[in-house]
Amino acid sequence: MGNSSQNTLKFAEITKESDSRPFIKDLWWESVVSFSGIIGLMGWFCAVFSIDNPYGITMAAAALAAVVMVLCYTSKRLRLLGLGILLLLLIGAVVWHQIWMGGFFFMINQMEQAIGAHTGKIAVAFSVSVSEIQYGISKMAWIGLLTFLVGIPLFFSVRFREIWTPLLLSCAMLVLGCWLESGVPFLWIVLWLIYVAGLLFLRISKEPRVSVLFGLLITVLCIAGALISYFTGFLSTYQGMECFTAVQSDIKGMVHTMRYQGSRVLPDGKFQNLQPFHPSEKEQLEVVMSKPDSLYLKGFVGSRYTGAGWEPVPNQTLFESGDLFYWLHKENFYGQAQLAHLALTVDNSVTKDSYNQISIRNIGASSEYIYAPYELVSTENNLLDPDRIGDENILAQGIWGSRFYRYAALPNQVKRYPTLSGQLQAELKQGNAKDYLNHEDHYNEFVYASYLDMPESTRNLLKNQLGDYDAQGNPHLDYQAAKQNILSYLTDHVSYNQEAAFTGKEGDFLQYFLETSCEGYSVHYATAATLMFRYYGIPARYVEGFLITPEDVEGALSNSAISIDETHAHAWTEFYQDGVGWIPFETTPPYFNVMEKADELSGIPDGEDNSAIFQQNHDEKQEEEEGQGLNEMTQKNGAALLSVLLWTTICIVGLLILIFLAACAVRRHRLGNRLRSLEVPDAAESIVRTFCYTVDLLRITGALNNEKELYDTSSAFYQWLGEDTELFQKAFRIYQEARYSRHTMSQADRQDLWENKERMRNKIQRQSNFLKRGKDRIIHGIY
Amino acid sequence: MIRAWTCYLIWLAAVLGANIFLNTAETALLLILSIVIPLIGIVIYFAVPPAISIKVTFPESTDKKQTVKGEIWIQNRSILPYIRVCFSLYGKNQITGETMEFLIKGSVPSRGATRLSVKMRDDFCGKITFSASPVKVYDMFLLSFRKKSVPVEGSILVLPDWLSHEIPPFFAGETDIEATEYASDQPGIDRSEPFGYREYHPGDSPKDIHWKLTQKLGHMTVREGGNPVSKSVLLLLDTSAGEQRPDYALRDSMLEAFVTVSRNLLSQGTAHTMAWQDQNKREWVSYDIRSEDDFGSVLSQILSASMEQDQISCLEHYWENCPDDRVDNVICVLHTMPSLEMARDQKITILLAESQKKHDRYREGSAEIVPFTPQELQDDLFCLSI
Repeated sequence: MGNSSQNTLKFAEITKESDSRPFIKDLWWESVVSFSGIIGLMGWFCAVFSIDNPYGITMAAAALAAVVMVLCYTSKRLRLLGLGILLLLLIGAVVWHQIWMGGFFFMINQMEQAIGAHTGKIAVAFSVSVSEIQYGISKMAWIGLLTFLVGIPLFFSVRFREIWTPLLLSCAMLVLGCWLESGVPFLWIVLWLIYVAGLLFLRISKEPRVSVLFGLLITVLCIAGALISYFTGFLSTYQGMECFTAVQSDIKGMVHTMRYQGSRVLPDGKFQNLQPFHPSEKEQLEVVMSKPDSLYLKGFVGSRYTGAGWEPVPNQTLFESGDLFYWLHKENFYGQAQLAHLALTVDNSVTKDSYNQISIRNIGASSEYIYAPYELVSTENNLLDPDRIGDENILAQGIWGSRFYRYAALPNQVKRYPTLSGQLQAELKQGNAKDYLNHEDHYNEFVYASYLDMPESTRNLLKNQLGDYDAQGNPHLDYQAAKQNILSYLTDHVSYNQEAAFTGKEGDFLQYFLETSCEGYSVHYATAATLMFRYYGIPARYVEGFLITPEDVEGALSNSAISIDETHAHAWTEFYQDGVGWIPFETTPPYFNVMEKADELSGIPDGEDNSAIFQQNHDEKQEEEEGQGLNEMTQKNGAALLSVLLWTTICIVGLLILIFLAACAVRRHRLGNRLRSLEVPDAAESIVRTFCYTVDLLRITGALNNEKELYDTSSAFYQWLGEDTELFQKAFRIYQEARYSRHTMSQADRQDLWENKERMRNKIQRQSNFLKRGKDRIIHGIY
Repeated sequence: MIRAWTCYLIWLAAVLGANIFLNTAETALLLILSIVIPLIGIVIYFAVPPAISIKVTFPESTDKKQTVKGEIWIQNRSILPYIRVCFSLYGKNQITGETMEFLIKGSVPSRGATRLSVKMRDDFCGKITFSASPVKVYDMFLLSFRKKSVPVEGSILVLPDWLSHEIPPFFAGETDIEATEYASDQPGIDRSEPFGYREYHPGDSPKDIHWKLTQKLGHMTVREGGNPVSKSVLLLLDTSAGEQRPDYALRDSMLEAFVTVSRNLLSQGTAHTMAWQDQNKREWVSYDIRSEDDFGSVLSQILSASMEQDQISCLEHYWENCPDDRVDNVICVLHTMPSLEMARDQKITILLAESQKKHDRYREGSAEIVPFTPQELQDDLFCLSI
């Protein structure tokens, strides 16, 4: 004998089925947790985007949101009060919509500023429609409204123990905070922690006392931690941990390598662990030119000397000159293409026919940079991003950089820049090229402000090495003297050696090069020359890139591919010649005769006198524009943004409705198929299908909570069945017989199942109101 | 716990990420708190031993196939609140051997209790006893737990259906005129040998009224009959099982028959003895049943008589444990036919529980065999006579 009979000992938890709403006292902790979350989130949001946050208003709005939500969840009368407050708020928001919309645009502008400062993109502000007197009130109104709106989902997340909201928001906060690299006061972090932990404990524990206790414990510990850190000075003195910085650097390096790959023959301005220069013949670029010509192709450009390398100007600093670049780019003036711009302005012989159409296929070099020459024509390519602030180099768009691009450039202008300078002087005397000079004048200011910096120790070092100089009342030593001094120093004091290396432990790179090792290769020479130019008051930058030498193009046919390998990789310095633009200058001995020399060195008079003229012109302009400053950017119309937001919302809602309708249609179609499938000729199959459909019908409409209830005659389901219990049990027996036995089922059995199904459906319909019937038919598509 | 660790590690990774990319005092403090707070929690929870007790409260008894509501109380005597205590509550029907497992997760405040409303139902009779797996007590972030074995208080009796109300008395008023000995401590049905006199109680038969004494004393007086010892009955329940135990329904019907016979004997005023081999203690237990009170007090023991593997039948146990017993009638409820080699001059009635009936009642030596099935218990025991 075995246990052929079923184990009938059953045990189940009684779930609370009461629909009674909680009392206010039951919701106090939930409202505290929500309040903490709202304040923390808003505080974080405003801190990250540097938005003016009227904290009083934020707290009041958060408290109001918590109170209204609590009221809406308590007794009927209090719910009416809560809904009344909501209605009043809605009316207020409609009536004074212009006020809060002004605040909204203020906030958008501040967010744009924060993002622009991080990305180095020009941020055009939206016009704010409120008067200056209303600025304060409109900011407060919008922040209050936003806080209230944010409070609703946060309260719901706490009420329904929904963990996804804090999870997604925390992720978004983390990613945004890390991306914008903006620190957040610990207070906001603590408040957010209280919200997350409070919600977590509410979710884990069904016992309110326990969740409250643990929530309070976390609050106390966080506050204690914050106070201890504050009073011990940890918060104010902490400088960051080196291990994190190192990991960050490694991660960024890995990501950079993954994105752009490319050979590491040159260090991209990072001299830590600088290796000897051993270029291979591995192909880096494949260049096709309509008019083969020797060119300097700029890649990395370093503007800030750190003692261990070069870095670009930080976006934060560049953003301060956003207005300047906005107008310069609007007038098609780009620092990266200034030489060509000048040539096109002053040299009538340069026409479109003389453009050199260049295609570059990046095979082995870093895809981060667009390798472009000094002769790039700004009007003939779309590589120059008008929204990007800066003038150092051209960065490729896209996650993986760019491996193929085309642009137009002029024939080699570097070698004839003194001629261009002379032609500009002539034009100036005739009163022409005023637009160019006007733009150059503003750009010149930026260049002098940005590219003369160097650490004080470096300045002292150069002073010791080069000695004092007399600029004779000019802002800098004259170009010729500076160049000669630099060349003679580097030729006499240091020697070229490809094996030179630098680990970073030797101290300052320049000092080690000039005082200790006194040997190096192009990277060392270019660094020293750049800083020496700056020492003489001439703006200069460190550049890495590739050289297309006259030897490479000699005999090359038009549009034939020229292979550029690692041996063409080179570092040089570029200095800013007033009025002309950035000019490469060769200081590495083995490269002196590699590229064509400028006219000045070929015996053609250079523009030394021009420099004084440009300076004079610059001074005059300054006097003219004194007090006027640069115009601010034109502001965008906010209506466009609102329109975009409105249409986006409408589109999303429309799309959701379409998806909903499609889903309903699919469900109705499936229901039709299913109902037809009940009429199969095989009685047993029909009985099984009919019963399964009936059970689904009962389950989806909520009459049956789970299938276990079918076996429990004391369950709520059998109470719901009432007088139909017998019929249902009979149908159940017939179903089991049809499913598990080999008996032949009769049409009468089938009829019983059908009757049972109809009875159940009618019962459900009778007991449902209009809304539920609609939900069951349209959304669930069950009958 | 795996989920908690996964979440915690994701959180730590996120905070670590914030430190790597922001490296500010705030992120460093967040990292410290994210490590220190859970660590403190774990240490405290490991340092303070949990003081948990579990109590299951149900009504004392219920009927078969009735859902009964009760509560599970988890009491915490420690000063630490527990955000999660987790254990499996096991229930076992001592008679049928049915078991159930119910996973319980709950929170308990410090020096407090939490209760869980539950419902229970069993289609078979027996005493349901509860036990629990070692209770897992988690720290505040569910990252670690301690196990503690906790005794569980509470049980519930699922009563038999009292079939006696539907079965006609099976003694049919027979009197053993051969009886020479009468019980001194209990009245019986033999009016020929008075046991004693007492006041009339409503419901007493008019035949029992002693009219002479009534006239003399001035109030209604009845005469109680003697209880012939030769009418003494021993009811035996077989709790032995072979390698395969009888199924739940069969065990239930055996107990139902055992109790039914006892109740009918009582209703006829026949004192009797109920006995079985206690398989848990491995000892022979017997109880004299003289009244409903006796029966009530023994019922809990009967419903706890679990059936375990045992090669010796209850009859053999009886003969072994009570070699000098002078009971004349032995009624034995079994599920397998016992060996009757050791049968003495006692009249033996064997109520043989079968899943499917193979024979009608028959005699084998001095024993009368009455087969019965769970489905037709009432019919099978109809007009049972001894």
